[in-house]
Amino acid sequence: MRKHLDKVEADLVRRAMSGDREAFGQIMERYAGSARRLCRAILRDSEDADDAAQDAFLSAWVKLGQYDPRRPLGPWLMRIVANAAKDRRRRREVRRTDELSESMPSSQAGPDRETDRRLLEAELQDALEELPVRYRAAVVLYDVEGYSHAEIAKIIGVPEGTVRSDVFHARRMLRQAMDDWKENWK
Amino acid sequence: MNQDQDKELGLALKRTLDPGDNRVFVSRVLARIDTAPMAPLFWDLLSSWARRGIPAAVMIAALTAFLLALPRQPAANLEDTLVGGTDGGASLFTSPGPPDAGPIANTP
Repeated sequence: MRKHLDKVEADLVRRAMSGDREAFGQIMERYAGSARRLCRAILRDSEDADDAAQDAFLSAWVKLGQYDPRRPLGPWLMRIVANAAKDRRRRREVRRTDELSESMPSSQAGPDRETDRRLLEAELQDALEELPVRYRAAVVLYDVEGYSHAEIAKIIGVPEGTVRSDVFHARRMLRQAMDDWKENWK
Repeated sequence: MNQDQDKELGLALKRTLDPGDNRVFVSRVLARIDTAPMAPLFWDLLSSWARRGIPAAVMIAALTAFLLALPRQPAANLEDTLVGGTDGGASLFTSPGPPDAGPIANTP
């Protein structure tokens, strides 16, 4: 299955490299979710995150000729995404969003699954806010997107040992937040 | 792909960071691509040339400067270079008789 997917992706990349915009659109559909999540983890603002993800895909389109088709596309693309998010973060002071507090349910809300889920998300949002940006990127790439330590090291541009350490510390802090939520709401 | 993902944490984070529908986003980026010129080939070509061309040009300039800076020696005279007899090398061409191989043949 994975081999088949890789073959499909290789064909999409080959077409996109020869200027096929539709093929690039299909590549974007595959990676848009990962790219936007990573940008959200780094920037903590959904508008900034989508602008950064857009910059990244435009940059990838321009740089597609530099991509080595023998290597997996994901890490190459996510590196461009991480750099775009970091650039935007440097250029613009991240605005704190009020969306979370607006979307948070009141404490009187019923203990249904949707409420539980939203409360956990709010807890995790807060915990993510507390993490250094490198921890956030590392743990999202590892536990959400499934990249290896070595791939993340290339994406973020730090040694593999640093990635291992970042993932460990980020997990510990986020796990603590999840445990607090379980203790309070379950 | 990594083998020891924390699946529970990963899923919770995925939900937390979920941006929703990607179709609008993809359409927006494609619209931007449409308005941009077909940049990939031009800029890639230019940048690939620059990557190789600039170091090559620097090396050629350095080599040229080095060669120009070397002290020049006067060109050696053919007469001086050839057998150091009083007649000089020109006698080889002007003499009606064959050249005398004696000095070479008698050399031990």
